[in-house]
Amino acid sequence: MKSLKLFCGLVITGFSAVSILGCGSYGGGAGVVPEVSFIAAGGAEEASTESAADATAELPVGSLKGRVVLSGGASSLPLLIAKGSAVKDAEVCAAEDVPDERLVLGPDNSVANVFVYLAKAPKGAKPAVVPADPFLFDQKTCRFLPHATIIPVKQTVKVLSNDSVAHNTHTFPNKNAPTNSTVNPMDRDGLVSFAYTKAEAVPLAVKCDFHAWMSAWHLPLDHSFGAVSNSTGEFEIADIPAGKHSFVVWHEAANGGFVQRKLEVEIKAGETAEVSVDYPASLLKL
Amino acid sequence: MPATDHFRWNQQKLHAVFAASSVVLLLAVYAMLRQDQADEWRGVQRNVFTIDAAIRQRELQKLKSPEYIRQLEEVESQLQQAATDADLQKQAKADLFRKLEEQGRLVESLEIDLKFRNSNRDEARANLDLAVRDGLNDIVMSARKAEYESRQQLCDDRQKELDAARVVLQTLSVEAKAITVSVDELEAGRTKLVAESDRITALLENIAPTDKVSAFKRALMEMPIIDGFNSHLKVVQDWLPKLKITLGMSKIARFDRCRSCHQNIDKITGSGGPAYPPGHPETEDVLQWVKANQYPQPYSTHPNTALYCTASSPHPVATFGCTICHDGQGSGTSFGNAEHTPNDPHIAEDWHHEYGFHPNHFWEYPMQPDRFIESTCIKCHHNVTELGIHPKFGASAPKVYRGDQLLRKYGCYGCHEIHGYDAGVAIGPDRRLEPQTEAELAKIAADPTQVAGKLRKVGPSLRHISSKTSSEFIQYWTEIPSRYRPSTKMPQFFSLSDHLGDADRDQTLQFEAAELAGIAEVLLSTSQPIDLLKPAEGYQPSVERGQKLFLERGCLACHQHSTVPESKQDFGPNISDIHQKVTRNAGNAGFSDWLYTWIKEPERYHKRTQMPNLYLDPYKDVDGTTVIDPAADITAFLLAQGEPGTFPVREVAPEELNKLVEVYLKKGRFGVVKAQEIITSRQFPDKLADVIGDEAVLATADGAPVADEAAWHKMKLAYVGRKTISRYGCYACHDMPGYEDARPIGVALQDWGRKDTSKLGFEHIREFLHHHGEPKGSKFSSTSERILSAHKKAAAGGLEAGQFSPEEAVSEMSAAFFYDSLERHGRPGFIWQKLRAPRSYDYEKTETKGYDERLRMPKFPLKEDEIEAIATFVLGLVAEPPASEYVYTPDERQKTRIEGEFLLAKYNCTGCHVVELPKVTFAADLGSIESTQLDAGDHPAALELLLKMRPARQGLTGETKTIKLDEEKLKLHVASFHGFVATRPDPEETDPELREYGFDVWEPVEFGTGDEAKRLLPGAKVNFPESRLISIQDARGGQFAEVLVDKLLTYRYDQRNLAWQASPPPLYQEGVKVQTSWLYEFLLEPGKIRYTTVLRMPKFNMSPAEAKTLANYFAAVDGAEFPYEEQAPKDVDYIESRSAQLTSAGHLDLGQSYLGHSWDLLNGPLCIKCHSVGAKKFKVSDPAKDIQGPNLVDVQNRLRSDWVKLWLYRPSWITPYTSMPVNFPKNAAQFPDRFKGDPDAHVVGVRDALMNYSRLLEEIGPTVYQPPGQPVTAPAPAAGGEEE
Repeated sequence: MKSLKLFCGLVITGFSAVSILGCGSYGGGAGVVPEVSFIAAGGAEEASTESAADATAELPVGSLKGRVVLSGGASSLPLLIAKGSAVKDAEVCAAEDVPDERLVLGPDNSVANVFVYLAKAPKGAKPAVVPADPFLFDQKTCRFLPHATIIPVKQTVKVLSNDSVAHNTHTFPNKNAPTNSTVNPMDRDGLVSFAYTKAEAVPLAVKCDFHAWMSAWHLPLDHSFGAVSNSTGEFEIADIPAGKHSFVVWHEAANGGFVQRKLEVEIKAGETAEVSVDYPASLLKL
Repeated sequence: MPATDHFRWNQQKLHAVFAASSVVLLLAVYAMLRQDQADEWRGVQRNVFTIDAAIRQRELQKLKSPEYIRQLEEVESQLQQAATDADLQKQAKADLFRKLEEQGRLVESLEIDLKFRNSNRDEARANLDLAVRDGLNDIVMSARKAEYESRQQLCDDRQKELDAARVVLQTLSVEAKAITVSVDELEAGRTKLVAESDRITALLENIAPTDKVSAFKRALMEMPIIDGFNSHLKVVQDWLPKLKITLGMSKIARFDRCRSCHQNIDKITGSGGPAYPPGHPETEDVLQWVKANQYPQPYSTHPNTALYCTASSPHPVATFGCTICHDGQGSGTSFGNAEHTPNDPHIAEDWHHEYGFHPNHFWEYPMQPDRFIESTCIKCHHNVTELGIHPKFGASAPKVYRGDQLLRKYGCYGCHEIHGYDAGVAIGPDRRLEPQTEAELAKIAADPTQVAGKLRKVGPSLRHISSKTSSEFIQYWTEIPSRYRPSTKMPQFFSLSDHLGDADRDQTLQFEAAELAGIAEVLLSTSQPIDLLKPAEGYQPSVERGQKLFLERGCLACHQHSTVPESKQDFGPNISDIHQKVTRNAGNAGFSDWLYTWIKEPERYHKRTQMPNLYLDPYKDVDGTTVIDPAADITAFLLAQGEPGTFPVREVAPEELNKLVEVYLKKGRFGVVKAQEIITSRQFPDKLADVIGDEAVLATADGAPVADEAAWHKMKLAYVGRKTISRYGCYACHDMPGYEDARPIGVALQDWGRKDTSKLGFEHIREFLHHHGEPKGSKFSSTSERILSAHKKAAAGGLEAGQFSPEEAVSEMSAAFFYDSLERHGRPGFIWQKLRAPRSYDYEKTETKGYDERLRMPKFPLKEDEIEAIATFVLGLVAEPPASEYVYTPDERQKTRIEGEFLLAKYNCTGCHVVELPKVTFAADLGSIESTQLDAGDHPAALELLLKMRPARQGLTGETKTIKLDEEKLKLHVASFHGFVATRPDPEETDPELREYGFDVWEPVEFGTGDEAKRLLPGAKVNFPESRLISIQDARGGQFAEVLVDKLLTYRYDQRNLAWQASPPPLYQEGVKVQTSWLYEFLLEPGKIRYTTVLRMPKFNMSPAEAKTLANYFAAVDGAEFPYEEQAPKDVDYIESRSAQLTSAGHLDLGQSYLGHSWDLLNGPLCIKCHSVGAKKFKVSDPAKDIQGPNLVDVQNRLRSDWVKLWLYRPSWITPYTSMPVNFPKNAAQFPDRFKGDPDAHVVGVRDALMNYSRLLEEIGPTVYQPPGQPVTAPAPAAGGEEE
């Protein structure tokens, strides 16, 4: 039976279209995933995920809603660059106030830019859809826009610039091929473009070596179960298969990155679980 | 009556005697022949044939698989069928060939006929043409025309027939060919199929004939006498006329007959592996050996055929023989005669039972036991270095290499010279002190037969010691150095009294107290003054900052310190305790001017120190105002580790001092009475000016008695101190005033490996080891007991029977070997005990020796395995180099590499720098490896250049590994690459799927070949679950850099790449990067290159010759040209041709300057972002975070032009962690008005501007270039180009 399953898996991997024909009836389905994962070229992984998902598309799902709140008290950080400061390329970079986005606090000590995500897709989950449109990663007044974001694996990232000085966009991934290329002034076409091909375990830094204060965080994921808290510290993740899950809560200002390594949440079918994520100020490393 | 035989001899008796003696003689001949036939080697050779026959038979069996038999049967049946068909179709075939022949003839006749008809037609045409020319009448004309046409018709008809006949012929030919070909093909297929089997069968038939005649012939050839005529059983002899051996007093050619038994020693398989892999099968059954493919000696192949024996190795057996490396009696053809040497007494015991082995004292060169097999390497490899580090063979003789390293580490050569030259000719490794004075240096330079020593004294200079420490510390330290610093390499001279009786021990300790005080007195009284440096007036050192600077500035590249336990470097001493010993400032115990001076400018205190100058000059902090003096902060930090130490010293009893003075005076020209008189009267008989030698310290200028007892006491101490220093040779390791010309005190070691054992003083060592010999705390009361226990355990089954732990099995059997050797008065045993307990040879001897005649050798803190390594080296010092063609003489590149390695070790370059990257080996799932993709911004030319500079390495090892995954077994390729660990499995992660290793690949590497190959380029990321990791071989060198990176990540950087940029760079592929002439200058006078690093390259106390070697070394290692001088882009012809090229491509208008435009590019609003360029300074925003690139003015002299080009194309392909971006992506024109915006031309242009930097700065000067089309928000001349 085991080898039969494996065979099913192999067939699925090679010919994802064929998989619809129903390896599930031979005992495939979700159980197939572990066996095929080792074959695992980028495409193969995708194919197997899809097939597994197709076979169990009817899994009941729920949502997660939450808010990240800093406990213990801290104040927002002073400006990173005040308008008119004598920094490099001041005419562009100090044209406006640039906030220090390492810790952005909202009302009631809520924290923005916190990543909440699953380390890997739960079995049988709905596959991630790779957006056809590129993700536009912009720069303005020597500031990356957005500051923290989740980017689906394989989505094209186009790096734009609104600044009349050259930047260089330098990514520091652990698994993906790094990018480090000059971005022409006022490049609205996104000549520098790339795609993350693998999911990362933790968000990766994006920097500009020309303007060392510039930074942003990208988290490439191969599933859709992740979100970044907004300016009021809120986040929402939809269509999570029902069951117990442990989410990673990660923020750049936390010592070691993790606010919580395992945020255990039970998702019930058709319901929205609500959590308040506690971010102790003692974790801050600024 | 004449005497007859009958009369003289009794004929009958005579016949009987003759008959009997004939029988005896016959029996004797028979016995002799039988004895001869029973020679061991014949038995071995017969076994070899048996093995070979068994192998062949197995091969045949393997070959004749069911599939093979099926194929063969198929071919046979096809052939059979073909033959049958041929028989059946005989008639048809004959008909076919007949038809073919007939048709051929028909075609031929038709062709001939056609030719005739064509001629006839041509005639008719000619007649017609004549009629036209002559204007003949119409009747004639029409008749001739009709004639022509009818003949043409005949031609056409024949042509048609011919064509048809040819078609038939063709068809018949094809048919005929088809029949022949099918039979031929079948025959060829059959031959191919049986070729291997036929070959093996032929071989088998040769050694184990089945044919009775052949078998008889073979048996006959083994018969006595007949076997002298090229029998298959014969002594194999390697004649080595140039590898002479010294026998008795003369040198004769060497004959090695080892291969008579070791027949398979050089046999390899087609793929290069050993044909008879060595092993230790338990059974005697040769067929079982064949089955297991494991062979015992003497049937096995050499364990390292890449290096030895085979024709393609550097030591082919036919050229080198065996005994040049192994020693032993090469002419011997039996186990005993060959003089095999067991590796330990237990093996000796086994051999005794098996072969009747006994050690033979009468053969000078018994074979080297396994443990010393590497010692003979240094007969030819005088550099030793290549035996430990080699690009192709790795560490081929690690033990002898280690022995040499230890010998150098502990400075043995200070007392025991190893003179590697005899009248200027190399005879072995050369380990000697460098000339100590200018005069000595000049003398050597003037004598062509002299070669100067190269090594420095290993200890610190004591020339200015009074500024450094106290008398108490000197005494305390010298007595037992390890008491103060357990890891010290300083040996112990005092308190070595295990071999002494109680009374003698007390007396010795009393004398030693006087000697220690004497040494301190001499050192302090002769210590020369020194101007110590001081921090600026009022400077307040910061301990906290000092701790950080201590870490960041590279102290830990050589030293250990308890505050950073993860750093394990031991090139310099562990300095956790330095606060205890150094003299602190009077009035400011928190600081020490001495330590400050030493840290800041080591060569001020010690001219030949290996401690480099770290450029710890004061600088302004990032705030721009606070001055930081790093040396002062580090001093404060080191001193803040604790209070100054208190060092109890032994009290010197005046009468004991007197006794000792008397001992030495007596040794001089004074008798007992006179000596005592001098001591009591406090008056030396001569005036100071008349005394030479150590006694001068007892004399006064006017010859008057010394009035003050205290002063006299000091003078006596100085006298004893000087005597002690001379006796123990302290100057062998330390620079000391007054001892510059002193000679080494120990015996020279260059031929110690052949030293006559009768000249070794074994004395009462056996007795000593029967009662003593083991350190305190040992479970054995004596070494004898220890060895007895080892024997018993070995006899009871040793390691296999669980009697020993694996470590014990090695250490105890090693001790047993040495002990055995010592008992037999062997050199190995002598040196072993000499290093374990050097004074033990004085056991029961001190009663009859003067105090000053006792043994002087100190005890070094060596472990037993280190002693064995040193013994391996020293036993190899035989001063008997073979003929010069056998002595390893490296070519220029290899020589540079070897000398460079020596310097790399000497200056501990590898403390900071990685010189060989970590090698990662893993089970690769090739399907999941993604080849590095080029994107739209990448230049194809860059890839070409990369692969030219660093050809891709094959990553697949050819092996496979089975991994278990979800109960399924998965066979994966074993692959490797060079690169750094980027991430390790998260210790808190429990999901095995998420527990991954991540690596940065640093080289182009291919997994597989052809279209299937996956290619990774430098900078690629490789991740895999930890279960796939097979090994990570540590980098060679750079441990400090790795520690620093980890530390910087805790407080200064959040990205490993940035931390690497702040740390010493790996010198990987440095040879293809830098110009050797620049590196040479840089090594002598290192300027500041990088701004991102937290430390800078220190200045080493290095000679120009050493700098030159080291500069060339890197090029030699990387296969780059050296010495190298950059020419191309600076060459006028090149500039002109490049200019013309761009002009013809329309990238440059006539009259425009190529270099001018290139200079514009360099000065555009890009490079200035990170570099100061064209006299414009880099704009600093945040000194702590800004990434400032190196000075560009240095590029022209520092870097090689190809390297610069690749760097500009794609920096991360050279240094994956760099911040330098791709500045001129292929798809993004940056500066459209320069070279028509062609990014390729921009790269080359910027490169050429960099390589002509000074010239352009001078000719064109500072330039502001603002490209069109880029909006400028402010009227800045060049963005970021303001003066700092």
